[in-house]
Amino acid sequence: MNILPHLTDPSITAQDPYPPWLFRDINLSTATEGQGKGSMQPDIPAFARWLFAFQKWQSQRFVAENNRYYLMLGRRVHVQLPCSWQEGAAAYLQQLAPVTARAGHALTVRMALEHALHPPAEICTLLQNKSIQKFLFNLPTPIPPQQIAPLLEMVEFLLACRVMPILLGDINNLLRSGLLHNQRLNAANFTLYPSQRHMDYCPTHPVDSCATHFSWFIDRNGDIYPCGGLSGIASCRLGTLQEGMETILQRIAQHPVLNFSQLIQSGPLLSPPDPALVNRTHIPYKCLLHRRQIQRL
Amino acid sequence: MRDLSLTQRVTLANKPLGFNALVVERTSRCNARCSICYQGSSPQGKEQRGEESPRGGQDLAPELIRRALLEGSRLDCLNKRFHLAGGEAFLDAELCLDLFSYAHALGYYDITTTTNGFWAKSLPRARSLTRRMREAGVTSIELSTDHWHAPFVKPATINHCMQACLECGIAVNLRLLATQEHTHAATLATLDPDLLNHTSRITCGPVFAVGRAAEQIDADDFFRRGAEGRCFAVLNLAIVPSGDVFPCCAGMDHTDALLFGNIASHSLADIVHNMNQSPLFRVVSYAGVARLLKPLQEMGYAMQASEAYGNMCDLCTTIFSDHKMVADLTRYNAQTESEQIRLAIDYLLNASTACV
Ligand code: SF4
Ligand code: SF4
Repeated sequence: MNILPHLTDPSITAQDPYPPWLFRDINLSTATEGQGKGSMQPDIPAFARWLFAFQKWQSQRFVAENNRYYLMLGRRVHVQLPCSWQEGAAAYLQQLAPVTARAGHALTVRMALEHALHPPAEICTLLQNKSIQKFLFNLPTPIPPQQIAPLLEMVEFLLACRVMPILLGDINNLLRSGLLHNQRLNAANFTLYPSQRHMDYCPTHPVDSCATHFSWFIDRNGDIYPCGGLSGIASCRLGTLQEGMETILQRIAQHPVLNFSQLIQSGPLLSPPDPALVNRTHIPYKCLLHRRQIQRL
Repeated sequence: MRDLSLTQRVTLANKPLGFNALVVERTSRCNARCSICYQGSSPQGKEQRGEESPRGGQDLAPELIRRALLEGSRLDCLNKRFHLAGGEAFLDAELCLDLFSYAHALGYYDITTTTNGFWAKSLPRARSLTRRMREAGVTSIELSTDHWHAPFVKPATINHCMQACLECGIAVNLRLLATQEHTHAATLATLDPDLLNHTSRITCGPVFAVGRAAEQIDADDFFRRGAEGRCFAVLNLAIVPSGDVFPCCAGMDHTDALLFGNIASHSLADIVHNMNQSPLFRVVSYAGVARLLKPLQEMGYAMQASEAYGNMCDLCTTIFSDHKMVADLTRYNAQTESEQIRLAIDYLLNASTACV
């Protein structure tokens, strides 16, 4: 049975008709509920149930589809933690790490610098056990001088554990901090994400395929969207953590607002942008335009 | 390889290989001759120890690239990303544009390229070419710049390139390399801070002692990370200027002791089949190339400890450049395999005797 008949257009994805091939990443955008400890959402048991149901579906398709390679792909889970270790981030990560490991997926953690510094012993153990593949620090501008030494210490610890550090912040600020002169860091592979990327410029040709942007973007309510750019827009929802994979895939195939075939092939069809519109957000310009267009519908 | 767990053995035996991109290294010619170039590129083509290497100036014929793109668009183990690299592919910018358009028409949704940006000497020139690249379907570029590129491509040229890409919507991934002496901070300080802050991403890594770097850079200046690690998740189908196809573009593509097929005489599907059928390559990708150290030492090769290698690709390049080593490893592998079969038969026979 072909679940997504309209995605089999040979000019597009003749050999890989399933969006799950494209949805390589799972983005968990978490939030704290109230003030209490350990009250972070989405709920990990619900996420675990969804993930294992997804895996089961994948293995069944793998056998039914005569070992199609893409049905065996591993995924990366990115979790954005909104609070300090003590406020619930440590407990949440300790629950999440074994779930992603059991599913055979890599785990990336993203935190604000002030929350990430001085990880407790149990998080150091997770890092040492290689349960976390990458660690992204959201840096403030300027970096408070008293946070530079602990940041360096943590970056060195990550490198010793073979966890890749990612620094998101103002590049001048980073240069001034002296961090980029560190020998251990220069000996390693790491990534810098400049703080102004996507911002200010209004490209003449903003639109391209959305295939590389797609992910299972799961918000605090357990609602699933196809990308961060459309998160929170109810009409773009693909489903929830409570639903089965078949239901979600059916919805993708017959989505009332999003034409995935079109999005994969060449991105959204957009009306010409308002020339005065400047991107002040952290999402790509095309996503800003697409989002506004859908919200106007 | 005898110490693998059952799950690792099952993966090693059965899991099909997958590739993140079709990488075409069209030429080994380059306008520059950087001391860190792992390919040893130069205006005349590939060099080894300062000499032009045999077939070093050879470029891959455009019709072979088109055929590979067409065949690649039908392979389900290949993500539909086309990456054009060199040497410096933009020595023939018109051909690059033609190949991007063709890939776009075939349904590749991610079209990317590596360049040193030499063509962006003036802003109008940079704007004109990037606009045409974008119209041909290019989604992002990997722009190489650092201490060793700077004598050939000035920072002002890199700035033009970044600005023109930002204006037309091409994402820029700035690729920097460092040694103990020349840090990333030093490179970044030469570029326009405002443009840097708007670029999509900056990927930093150390220089490894392979290719021309091994010949020209002081051994103490390299960082060494050790050869542990597995690469099955980062493989690319890479076609080099001679037409030979490799399962990665990180070092093995510049060796010649384990070949899988040439695009001029084999279909991509057959070549992928050969990769999947290669026990030696399956060990490298799924179990890690460091696994080969012990058998090589047992066979009398003076291999260093895993930590002494720059990274796994450094060791991989060392091994797969040596025909004798590869022949011995192939023999060793076949022997281990028959040993395993004998053990399995013994086990089954014993089990059935126990049942009786
Ligand atoms: S253009 Fe729309 S569908 Fe595509 S990635 Fe951006 S927000 Fe998502
Ligand atoms: S270990 Fe070898 S095959 Fe694997 S990515 Fe490195 S060079 Fe390529």
